[in-house]
Amino acid sequence: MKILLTSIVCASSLLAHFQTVMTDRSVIEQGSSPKVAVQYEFTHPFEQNSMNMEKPKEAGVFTEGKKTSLLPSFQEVKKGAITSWKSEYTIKGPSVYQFYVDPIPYFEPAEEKFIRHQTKTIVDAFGSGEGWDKPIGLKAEIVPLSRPYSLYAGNLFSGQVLYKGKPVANAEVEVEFYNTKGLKAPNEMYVTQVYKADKNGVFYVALPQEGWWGFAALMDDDEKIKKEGKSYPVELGAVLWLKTEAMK
Amino acid sequence: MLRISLLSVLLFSSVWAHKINLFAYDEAGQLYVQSYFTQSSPCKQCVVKLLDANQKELLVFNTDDEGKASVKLPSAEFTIIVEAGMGHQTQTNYVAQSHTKEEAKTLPSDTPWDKMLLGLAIIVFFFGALYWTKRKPSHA
Repeated sequence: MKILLTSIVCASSLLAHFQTVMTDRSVIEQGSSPKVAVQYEFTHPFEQNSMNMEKPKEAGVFTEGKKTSLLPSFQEVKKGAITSWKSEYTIKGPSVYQFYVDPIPYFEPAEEKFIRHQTKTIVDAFGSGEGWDKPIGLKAEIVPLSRPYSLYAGNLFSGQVLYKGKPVANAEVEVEFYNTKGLKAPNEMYVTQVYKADKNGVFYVALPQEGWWGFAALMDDDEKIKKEGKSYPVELGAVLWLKTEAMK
Repeated sequence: MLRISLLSVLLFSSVWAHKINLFAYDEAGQLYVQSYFTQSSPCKQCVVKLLDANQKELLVFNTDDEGKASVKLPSAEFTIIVEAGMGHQTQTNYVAQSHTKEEAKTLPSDTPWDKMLLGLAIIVFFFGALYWTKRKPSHA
């Protein structure tokens, strides 16, 4: 019985939690609708097991150096007992739009810590071409070094991990595919892939499938959160989502 | 030699960057066009042509130094072409959002139902009030 319990705990710890932010399009072209639909989920992307997500404390869009809250347009999405969220934003003109969310920290009893994934995805409108490599000022953030909205499946992606605006040397980056295709991993180790950044916080990942990819650089935050009189550490995640397309 | 090579590289890279982008929208019967290579690099004094379905020129004008231009909508649907010289151009088929609404607002045959109803309501109220004031003393 003890062995069985240990196996279950070990197996579940291999599934990585990911906060998501995904848009219906990553490139807005002239003639297409300027309305962008945004969805927010707390999930295990490869396994497609979602968890409840509370309404975040902050979510918005960053463009032209300014943040605009999208919380007023937030709508709850229920799938059975699981809650996720969606919002909508109307693009105003040519620019790069970074959609982000800072969720309510989630308490993981098995790991005795809070998980807070500051997450973003990047959209280009009308060929703006500038601003996708700019940080938006999240405490933990991945800044893309490859233009994130024009990658083919098979391309190499590179990014830099920042904490309080400074590169994180040797940061560990977990990578998962948002697996809506029902792909099976050869074994549990392939569900979440792990990469190490260099001394400048820069990492490189090849993306073999068409679809959404999530990158989560996890680090210990310098703040703790109290729960029932006890202080718990916070796993702060810098998370980035991007979509690759097939070359046809 | 080094200078020539460097110049070639610069020229080559600038050619790669010469993809023209176009952003257009309309509001209250006015068409707004913005053209650029990247957001901070406008297509200055570029030629903008509006063509109808038969490729006939409806309007020809230039962008300003910010790559922007504004003209009255010539029709509800047309093609916008921006030319930046050296064979670089972009085009899009444009369907105006405010053209037909503006037309509808100015059509003389339009019946202003809302104003007519308001006028009718005022007349009914006036005569109702008159009837009530005239009727009151006879009951006293």
